[in-house]
Amino acid sequence: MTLMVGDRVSFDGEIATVRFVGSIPNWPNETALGVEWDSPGRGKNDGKLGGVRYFQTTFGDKSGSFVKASKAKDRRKSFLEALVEKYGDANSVSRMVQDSVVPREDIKLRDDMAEYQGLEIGSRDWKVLGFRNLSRITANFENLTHISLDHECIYTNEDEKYGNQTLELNKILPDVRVLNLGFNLIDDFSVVHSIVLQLNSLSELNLNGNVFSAFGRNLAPLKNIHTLSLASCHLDETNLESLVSVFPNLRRLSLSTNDVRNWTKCLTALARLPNLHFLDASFNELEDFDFETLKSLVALEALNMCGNRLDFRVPLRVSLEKIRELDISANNIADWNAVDNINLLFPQLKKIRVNNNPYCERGEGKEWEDELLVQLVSRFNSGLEILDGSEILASLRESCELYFIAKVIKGEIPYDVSLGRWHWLEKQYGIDKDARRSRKPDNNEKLFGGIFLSVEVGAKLLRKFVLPECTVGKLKGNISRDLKQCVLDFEIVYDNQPAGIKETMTNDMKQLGFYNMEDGTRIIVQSKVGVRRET
Amino acid sequence: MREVLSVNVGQAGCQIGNACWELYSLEHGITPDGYLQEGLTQPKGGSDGFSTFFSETGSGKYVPRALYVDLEPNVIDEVRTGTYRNLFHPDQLISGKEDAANNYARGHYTVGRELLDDILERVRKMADQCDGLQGFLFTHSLGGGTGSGLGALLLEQFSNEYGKKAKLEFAVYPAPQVATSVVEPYNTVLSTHMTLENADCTFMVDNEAIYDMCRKNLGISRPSLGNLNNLIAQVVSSVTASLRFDGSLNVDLNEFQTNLVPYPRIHFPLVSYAPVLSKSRSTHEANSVQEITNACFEPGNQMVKCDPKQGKYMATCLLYRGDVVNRDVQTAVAHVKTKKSVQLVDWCPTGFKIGICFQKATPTPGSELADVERNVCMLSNTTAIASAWNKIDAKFDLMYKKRAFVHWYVSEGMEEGEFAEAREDLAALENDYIELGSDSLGDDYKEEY
Repeated sequence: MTLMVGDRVSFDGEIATVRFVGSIPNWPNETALGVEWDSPGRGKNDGKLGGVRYFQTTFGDKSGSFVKASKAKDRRKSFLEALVEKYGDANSVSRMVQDSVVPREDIKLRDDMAEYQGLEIGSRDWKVLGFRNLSRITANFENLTHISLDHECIYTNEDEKYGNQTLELNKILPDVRVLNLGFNLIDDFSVVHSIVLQLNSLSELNLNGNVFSAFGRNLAPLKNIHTLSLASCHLDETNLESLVSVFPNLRRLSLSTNDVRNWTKCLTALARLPNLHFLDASFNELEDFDFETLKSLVALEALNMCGNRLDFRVPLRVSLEKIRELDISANNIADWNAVDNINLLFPQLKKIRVNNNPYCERGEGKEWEDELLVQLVSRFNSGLEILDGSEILASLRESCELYFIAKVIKGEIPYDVSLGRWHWLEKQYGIDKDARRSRKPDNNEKLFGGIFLSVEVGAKLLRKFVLPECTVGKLKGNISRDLKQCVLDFEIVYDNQPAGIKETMTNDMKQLGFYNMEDGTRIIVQSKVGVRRET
Repeated sequence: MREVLSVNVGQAGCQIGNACWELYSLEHGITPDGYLQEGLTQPKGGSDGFSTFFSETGSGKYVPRALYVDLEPNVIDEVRTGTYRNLFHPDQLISGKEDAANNYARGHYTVGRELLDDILERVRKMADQCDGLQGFLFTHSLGGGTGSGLGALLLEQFSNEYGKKAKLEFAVYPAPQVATSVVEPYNTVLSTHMTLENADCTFMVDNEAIYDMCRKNLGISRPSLGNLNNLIAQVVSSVTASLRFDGSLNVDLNEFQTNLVPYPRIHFPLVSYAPVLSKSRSTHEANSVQEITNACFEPGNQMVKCDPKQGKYMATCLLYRGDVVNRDVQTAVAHVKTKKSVQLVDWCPTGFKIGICFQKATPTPGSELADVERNVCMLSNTTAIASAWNKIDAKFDLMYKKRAFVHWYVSEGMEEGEFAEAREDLAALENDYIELGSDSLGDDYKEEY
């Protein structure tokens, strides 16, 4: 088999595209292949060797390699060949080809269990049970409902071995509902199209890891397909447009790990799918985009955007009420502000994943996990049922929200109280709106018979809570800590103006209760630094 | 024919039972009230296999062959009022009024014994409805009072009454992450001592291992008991799939034991399950037969935390489900063969078995587990599992040295001697494993150096 530029080829399970055929100085007597691997980083260069450019890679600087054309390649197969090899036996072939075409010798057929009975590991036997039954079931292709032909090196649907024209896939595989053609060598989408077109019962199609270079023209729509997976297909927004138009009734679509750059354009293409209710856009290097365009996907309810670079730093004016499930784990969400923005953007969430973001990394241990939980539960709207895979029970929600409210009121958690979420919380738990600003004297503190003193330090006024049993020394120590001054550097004066008493409190052992104090009694702090110097 | 009765004992047992029956109903196309789903003319999976776990009433309703037993009413009341309330006959749900208070002695001697006659009567009735009862499948925990105490008591009674019938257990091994009491090591050791002679095969499920799987593989930040039970149910379902579906590996319960249990006491196979994948990651994983087979030999996919590399395999059974063909299994097994870490004891001739069930696993709706085309459950009898006993014995010793909490057991009529006896029995079990792992043959018979 001679390969040409553009062909797909597989070496030991790793798939590449041929970009160059010719000779290079390193191997003067052999034909060299310049290939670009599907996994960027698998290769050694970008198509340049010894200063000469033979081809240009598209998936990055390290996705190209040169190999000898004689290097062992995985055998390429047709769709039917792969199908028969995996599921079939001698009978299924004869059923299929109806005597007209005799299968060639080189198709390996699994005729019986004989070769597996004696399978050994070391000196031990592996007894295989149930496979005889299974082979009998699968060999009759009419029984097949799920077909997995991934990593099978399928490159075409045309098959000279079985005489392509006489076979109708729909008769051979009448009941197939799920077809997996992932990681094969199909480079022309119309090959897939002609296979799928013949399978009337098919509803789920997996094309992961096929890199298409041709997309066919004027293809008939495949109306039965409602689930399509196109992960790792190196698709960009232009290709995508031509692809999705073939599947008008899609309900679930996966575009994970592709090369979409212009997300807005991509979404405009997807807007043609009126039934799309789940979209997987994970691992696409997405950055914040115009979320308004998501509104054009009218049926969208679940969105997976994990492994991207979204940060939600800027508040957004849009709100996407339809979306119920969201996965934005492993993004660039850096602070709680961003979390609030997400809540504004997706107000009706029932299920969310936000783990593995930078904001989670700021602490460690059990206490930090608890704090994360409290904040996440409280910051998202109360419709949320499942957070990072864990169900939020009503009792847990209530305690989290109450704790959160208390912390916000005390000012220990900064929170924008103009948000609708805060109003909801206030209403839900009957919070006094002014409570946050002017804090009333705590009842608990009054219970002990404590007193609030006004301590004057120059022009500054401190409020100190003391118990009457406190000694003067203790009060001094307390003040010294606040002023960061040594206790010996100042003295305190008891100033009871109504009674006309003004007395320096010199005896450190005296209890404060000895003075006739009540709330608001003035204590004046006087510096003693000058006095000490004189002595 | 070949019916299996499920007996769910205690809170954990009943909750796992719930998760399992929900899954069985889904897999066989039965609605929560026991009728066939619309569009079906017969239950999925063929009538022979189906009837091992469900019985049919005259009116076209299907009833699980299951019994729920608990000493306190809460959990069973949830079944009585829950989604599946119509699936079960009220006679199948037995609950007492007074709980076992995490005390093995209460479950085994005082409170549990009061319910015993009632339970045995109902089991007799259910057994009478079977054409050819092949055995019992217990689910219970080892840490709680009811599961350990009453579970052991029932196993003992069943041994007397149904001598030759197979008795398999799924036993939940306690873990500090989801612990409810300090006396869990006591209950575990006492219960294991009692069941060691009576159960034929015990599949242990370590809550800690499941908890870690939920966190790491499924990305659940704070796994709840519901999450754990859903995963356990998948495993139970995979193990029982070969009994429930026609045209697959047609084994009966006895066959599990014949292959897996070389000595009656060494009946604790290690269960591994793969793939455990969350929905959001499922598109990235190929899940080829080879990958899931290899995953079974990784400690992260085991139901009990232990290191099989430190032990030797006595027997292995791989149960595949879903879209798996011969060729793939052959390649996968050939790959396992190259693994140096898979060490076998030198005295066991065969004991490798591969089974397949054409029907793929169904994920419970609402669970985080991805819907995959194929999965595998590996049952392996490895000497490494002894470390699980080692751990619990150490915890037991720590408390028993000072006779802490022992009075709770004595006050329920238990003799203190039973503690020492049970502990000795477990020490002997640990020893058995060590002995089995050591080479017994001369150098000429060794495979490798």
